[in-house]
Order: sequence, then C-alpha cells, then structure tokens
Amino acid sequence: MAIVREGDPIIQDQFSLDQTQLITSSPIDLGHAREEPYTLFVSPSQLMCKFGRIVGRLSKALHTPGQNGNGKATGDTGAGAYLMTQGMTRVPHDFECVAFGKARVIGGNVQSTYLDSYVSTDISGNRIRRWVDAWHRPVQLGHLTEWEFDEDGYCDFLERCLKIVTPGKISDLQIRIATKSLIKQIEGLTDRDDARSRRMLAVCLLHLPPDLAPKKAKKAKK
Amino acid sequence: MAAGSWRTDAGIGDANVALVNGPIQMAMNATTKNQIAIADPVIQGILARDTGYSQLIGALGLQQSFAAIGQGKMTATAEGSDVAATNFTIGTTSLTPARREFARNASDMARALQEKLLSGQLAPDMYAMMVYEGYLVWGNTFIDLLVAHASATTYEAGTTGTGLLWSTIMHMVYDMVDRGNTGPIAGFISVKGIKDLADDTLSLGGAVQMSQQAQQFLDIGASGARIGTFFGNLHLYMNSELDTDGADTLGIAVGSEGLDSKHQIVNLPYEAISLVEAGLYTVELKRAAGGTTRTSVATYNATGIRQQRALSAIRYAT
Repeated sequence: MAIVREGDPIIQDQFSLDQTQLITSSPIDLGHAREEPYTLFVSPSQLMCKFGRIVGRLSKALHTPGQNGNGKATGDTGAGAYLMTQGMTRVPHDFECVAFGKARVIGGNVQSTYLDSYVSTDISGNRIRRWVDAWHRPVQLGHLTEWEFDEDGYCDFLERCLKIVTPGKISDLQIRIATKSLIKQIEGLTDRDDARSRRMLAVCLLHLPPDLAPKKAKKAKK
Repeated sequence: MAAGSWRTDAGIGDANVALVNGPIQMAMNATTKNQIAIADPVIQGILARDTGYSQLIGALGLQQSFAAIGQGKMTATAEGSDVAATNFTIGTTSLTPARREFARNASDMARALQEKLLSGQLAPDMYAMMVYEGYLVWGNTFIDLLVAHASATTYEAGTTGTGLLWSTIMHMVYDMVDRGNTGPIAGFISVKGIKDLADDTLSLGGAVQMSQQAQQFLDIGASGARIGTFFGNLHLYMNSELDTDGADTLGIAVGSEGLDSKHQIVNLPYEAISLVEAGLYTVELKRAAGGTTRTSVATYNATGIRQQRALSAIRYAT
C-alpha cells in the first residue's frame, strides 16, 4: 500500500523529473528500489570486510511513516532516534560522495548525496517515485531495465562513513568485529574438500584484508 | 456479410465472433509467498500481541519499556557491611501507526459486463473480490514493513559478497539461542539465498549430505514458500520483499520477541459506504464522477523493533 497523509483523498505521487533525465520508451523496472527515502547510520561497532578493506556496516532509518517509531510525515525522526539509542551516528545527506566517478552535488532533484530517486509508471499507470542508493543506476535497452552497480565507489563510501565515527586508526577490537564472521566462515570452509568450498574460500579470502587471513586458509588456497 | 462453406474458421463469415471472454482468474505472482509467511507462529504471535495492546486512546503512539529484571547475581558480602544497590535500567521502543491506502476503480459498465466472469479465488462478485484483495495487499504491506527492519539490526550473520552457507544459518540460530531466544524463529531469505543453501547441501560430504535434514531439504525445498524447519527452532521461508544493501541481500531471522506491530482499528463514519471493517483494514466505497466506484482499502499500522537480541540480519551476495 502507498503511504498517504491523513485526509489526502487519493494516492498521488510527487510529480518531478527523474534525477538522470532518462528518456525512456518504457517504464523503468524499479525492482528492489524503496518506496520512501531513508537516512543511513553508522556505528563504530558495526563493521565488515569488503575487498580487503575494513568498512562500516550501515543501518537504514526508513522515512516510512509507522516504521520503527516514525510519526506521520516526519521523515526518519522515530527510526533515527531509535538507531541513535543503539549507538549509531547519522550520515548527513550532504556527506561528500563520489558515485560512478562523479562527485555528487545537491541541487535540483538531487536532495541527498547518497540517495537518488527515479520516476516510473506502475502496473496501473500511476506515476511512482522510488529511491535507491547513488551507486545503482538503471540502464535501459528497449523494455529491459538493467541496474549498474559501482561497487568500488560504494566501498569507498562505506570506508569514509566509518571515518565519521572512527576518525583515527581503527582499533584491534574493531578489526576483530569486522573479520570475525569471515574468519569463522573460512575456518569452516578449510575443513571441507570440494570444489564449491574452495570457490567460497577464495571469495572469503578476497574480502578479508590479506594480512589478517588465518594461516591455515592461506595454505588451503594454494 | 460474406458467405462461405461452413468450416471452423471461415464458416459463415463475419457472423463468427473471433474470441469470447473466458473466466477471469487470479494471476500467479511472487507475492503469494507473503500469505504463507503471515501464517508462521512468530508472525501470528506479533499480531496476537498487537491485538493485546488494545486501541490507542488519546495518544498517537504506543511506547513500551523493557526493564532489565532478574539478570543479576548476588554478591558475597561480609557480615555487617552493605552492598551497593544496582540501578534499574530500561530500554524503550515506540510504535506510531500511520495511514496506508490502496485503491481501485470500477465503472458501472465494466461491472455489468465483467463481474460474472470472475472465477476461482476471485468470487463471482466484485465486492467480495475487493475484500479478498484488501487482505492480500494488507498482507504484502505488513510483511514488507516487517522484513525492512533487517537494515537496522544490531546482530548480523553472513558475509558481504559471498553466498549463503548452512554453517552461517546454523551459527546464527545458536547465537540467537545464546542471546535468549529459546522459542521459534522465522527466517526469511530470497530465492538466491535458498539456491545458495541448495548448492551447499549438494556439496556437503557423504554422511552429512545423506542425513535426514539434508534429504528433507532436498525433498521439500521447492514444494512451497516454507522451505522447512531447521536446527530445531528455525522456520525458513522464501520471500521477495527483502531489502538490499549495496550488492547484498538482507534476509532476516525473527524470534518471537524480535518485532512488534500496532494496528489502530478505524471505524468508518456513518456517511461512508463501508464494504468491510475487517479490523486490520477497512474497505470503503466512494462514488466518483462518471458512474465509477472507487474501492479504497486502508489500514493504520506501525511496525518496530521490539528487542534486538531476538533479531538477526542474514547478509549474502544478491
């Protein structure tokens, strides 16, 4: 169901040009995009490893009314306040971001440096607006929509988000938190001897910073 | 009118009607899986608690407090000396219902022409169909709101950029039990996650692969959205409403204390044409200009994280 403000007669989407000014012969398939915007939160104790780097594991405070204490049409007040009680810090919507090699600048239809919105048509012919992170963008060929993902850019963003709460060098405990689940998985996989486990092991080692990999796993990979 | 020999296609020429309308049935869709999710005991428990909160009176939302009671131990104390008192600690969560709506238009002429074509699950009556659809869209909305909390969990299982493994699921269940979840857990993962688990099952070694649980997974894994019960407590479901984070999917495991919902039942006023007041949602009929009826399905609800210890996100490559 769509969110409607109390007293509004019918579901009406905001009418606006989409951010990238796509001219399309058929509606964009918005797939996993969210119906409402969200604000990202970062915590010094929530980390993960991505492509050999230690990055922040972000949480979303959805702006959906009714979600996690959000009031009606008040943005992320409830969900954001809840995440702050869990020791998280807001990633501001004007946070310096680079996506697809270009610096993101607020203005016009861009209301956040890390969020984008796209306008499309739903099955009933209504115009709808959906939100995705700035590192995903739709590419259209005929009626087909494919989503491109700037993995490196997103990874840089996650790393820089962590700097908000950990400006200096990350601590040993943070390294342990970030690597724990990967190392557990690697230890499990090194005990198995089949093609899939070896493939999975290679993927896990790709994400773990090389100097932190368990010795046994390095040997098994060889 | 063109005449001709009487055959199936050319027949008596223009007098043939090319096609006559068959019955209108329900189209198959990925959202069907949500109905099965609602039937899970954990989700039913959330709804039962929701009803137990009763109607909000004079306040927009509901706040709950969780007091840390019964977690301490006594301290060895020397005779005649006092022990320092421990303060009570309390965590709070809140639920503020918001309006959600879904609407359909049906013109009088369309109803006259097509209503009797409805068949199967759709009921031979447009109004009954709208009541049924109301339940379905309420269910889709509710499950979507619940699983969206995966992006705000403190605890997480799985690794970014890698496929899902049984060991990840197993560790997650034990971690959840360790945090205090001794009851059932409902787990929601996407078809990609289920495929990862299927690949993992097929690559497990001899005795493990032939175990009853692995065989059960291979046997019933594809017979419905409920993939099976694993590690004693976990009911695993396939779902399509899950959130993503970068190139990862965020599945979610919900213990009975993990999430909460609050529905505010809004009785329609006298002047409204009420089709149904089903408690969780209402269906109202509005006459628009041009002989059209607008059927409006509305609910007032909120969902929220109840206790983080009873939640875990399940991260894996999309």
